[in-house]
Amino acid sequence: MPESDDFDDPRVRAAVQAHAEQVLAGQQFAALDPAQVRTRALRRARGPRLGLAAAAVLAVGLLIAPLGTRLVGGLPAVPAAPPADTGLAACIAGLQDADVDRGSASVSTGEPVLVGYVEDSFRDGNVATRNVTYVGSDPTVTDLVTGQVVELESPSAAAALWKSIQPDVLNGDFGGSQAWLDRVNREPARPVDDSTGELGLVWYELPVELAVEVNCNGQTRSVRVRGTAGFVPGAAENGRIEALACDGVVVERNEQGEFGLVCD
Amino acid sequence: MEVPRPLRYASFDEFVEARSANLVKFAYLTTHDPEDARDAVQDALTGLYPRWARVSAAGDPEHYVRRSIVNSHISQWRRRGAERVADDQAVFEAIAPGDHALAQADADAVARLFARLTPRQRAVLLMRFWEGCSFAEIADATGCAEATARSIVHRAIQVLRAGFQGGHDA
Repeated sequence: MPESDDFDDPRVRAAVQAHAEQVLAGQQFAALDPAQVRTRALRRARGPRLGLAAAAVLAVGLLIAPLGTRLVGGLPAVPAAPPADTGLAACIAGLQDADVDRGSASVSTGEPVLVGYVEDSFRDGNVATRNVTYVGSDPTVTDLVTGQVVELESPSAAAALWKSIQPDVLNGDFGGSQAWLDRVNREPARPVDDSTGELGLVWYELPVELAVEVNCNGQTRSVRVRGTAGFVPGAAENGRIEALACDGVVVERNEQGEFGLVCD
Repeated sequence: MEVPRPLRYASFDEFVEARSANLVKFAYLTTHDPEDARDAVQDALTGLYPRWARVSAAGDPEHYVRRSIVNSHISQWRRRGAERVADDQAVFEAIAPGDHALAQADADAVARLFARLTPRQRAVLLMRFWEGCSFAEIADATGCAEATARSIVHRAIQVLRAGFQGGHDA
């Protein structure tokens, strides 16, 4: 039996196998009918026209909605991002055929709670881009070490480095509203279209650079994290990150070496 | 032990007939829901069909389907959030333990620990330790760099190890 190391553990291996046996116990799995799959694919192929039309309508709506929010001062504020599972999500469902998917988390405006939403675009079954917008901040987080603050070179440079954040951050794995960039896996200036949507600690000690635009209480701010994410055996978690921040958005690191964004 | 599969298939139909049952099994292991699993594979294959020539020429089309399954499940999981975890827990609780090396108490603990893993962590652990995939295969199937696949496996192992230690220390 192999000894435990970073990537193997006899007990974990046994647990996974036992778990799989448990889950599969008594289950039968039949092959799908290729003809049915083909028929469905052909139906879907006829759908994109409608899907693209819906996308155009939605895009216009998204452009207009923020303007409306600003212009209609006396009315209740319109959230800048879609609340979870609302009609917009239903609209989005119609865009699935256009290989567009948007997930949303709860959104709050004007409240000091860091929440946001995720927009993914898929290409060839893989996440091609993932944009994460945060709204608000969480003032309750106190056990953090504030990162080094420096000037951002230019907003366009940050925009060009628009990157992604793992969906875990919106699902409570990081203590609810605090968004942690705990796994950074980006080489500098990697084209966004080459994005896998995946963040992870890099196996080798590599320079990484991550940029996100943060919507802080209605103001868009760009934040960049640059440094070395270390995850080599014997030096795990020893990577260093120079946290870059601007416009009142602070990149912070907790005791576990995880990173988060906090809006002032 | 599964019979090694060919990487090339004469047609889309041959691929679906040969591999879809196993893909549904993989999806079920990932989602723990038979309907979700079947839907995920249906969706993935539906997406594959118009790209069949290109994807199959580029390599094993199963990787494409697996990647779609995992991505689809992650999106679902993200939308459902905590509700999904609660469902998983209920599923785990209902599972009758089989005749395996772990004791009943350990099996229950394992089920609970698995509910703590993210869908991607669960998927890569199953690929690594149940299906015996290499890191390169996992990376290909999950659409990430091999280094990232390693880190996901590592993190998932850490989660389970921490759970084991917590259980025994308690």
